[in-house]
Amino acid sequence: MPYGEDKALVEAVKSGDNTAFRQIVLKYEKLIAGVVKGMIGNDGADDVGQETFIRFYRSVGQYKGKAGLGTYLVRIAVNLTLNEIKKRSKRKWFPLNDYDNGHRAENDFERMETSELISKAMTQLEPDFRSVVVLRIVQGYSTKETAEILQIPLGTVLSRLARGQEKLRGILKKLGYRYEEG
Amino acid sequence: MENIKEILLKSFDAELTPQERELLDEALQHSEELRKEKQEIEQMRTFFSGQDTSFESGFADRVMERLETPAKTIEMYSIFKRVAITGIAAIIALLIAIYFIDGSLTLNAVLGISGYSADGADLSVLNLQNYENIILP
Repeated sequence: MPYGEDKALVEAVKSGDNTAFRQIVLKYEKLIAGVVKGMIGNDGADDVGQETFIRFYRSVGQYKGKAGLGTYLVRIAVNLTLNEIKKRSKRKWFPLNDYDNGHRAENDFERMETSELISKAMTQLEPDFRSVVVLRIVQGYSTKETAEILQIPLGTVLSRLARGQEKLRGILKKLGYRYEEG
Repeated sequence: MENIKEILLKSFDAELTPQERELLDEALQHSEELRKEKQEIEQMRTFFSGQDTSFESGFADRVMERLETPAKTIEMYSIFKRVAITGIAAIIALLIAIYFIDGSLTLNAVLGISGYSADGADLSVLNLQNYENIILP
């Protein structure tokens, strides 16, 4: 990504150019979709995605360009998604965390699409593990970048990754995933 | 074994020290269970990685629309605020005027009936001379 291009777009947004803002949305919507949907699935992801860009627009003056624009947007998206998870976990009638419902998921692999399964598996992970796993494994950020985005120490990223992966491996088995033997 | 599992998990995300690398390689050579575990983790990571995800089409339009909606709300709020401030100022001015005229701010004064009382009511205003035959209690 030519950083200069993003810089120019941000400067244009700062001076009130909504066309430039639209360009930023078009450029990064896929990235944000990956992060948000990776963490909460399809339900409500569009709203969180929209809010991510709106928040950026309203606080564009605070963006000094220390982090890349994509990284900055992902940071906003992760925080908003974690808030959304917290909000939803308070609403008992709309559970987002299926952690206790693993037994209902037997043989889901046979009837669900991959994206659905991924989302189902992810929502069974605790939010802190989820954000690390989504950024590192799903989105392919390095551990250092993941630590920067989440603003947590590198050691915490590594330990959450280790525990998150262990849990996910078990969750996938529960969901009916059959690991190939080599 | 727990320690070697930690090293195995770490090997996917961080550089191992030469000692850790040696320990892991040796353990992998001798433990089928560990080799299986490594394989499962690799498969799991492949399963989760590289997902092509996107929002439903028209996402940018929805963002732009949402961006404009609160602007209208803010505009309405500022109009309401101006009207409300003017109204409150007018009410305060009226109360001050009433206080200077009547010397109090009782309900009667506010309603403009402080000069009237039920006992001293001037019944002539009701033009009762035309009803002389009416017996009043």
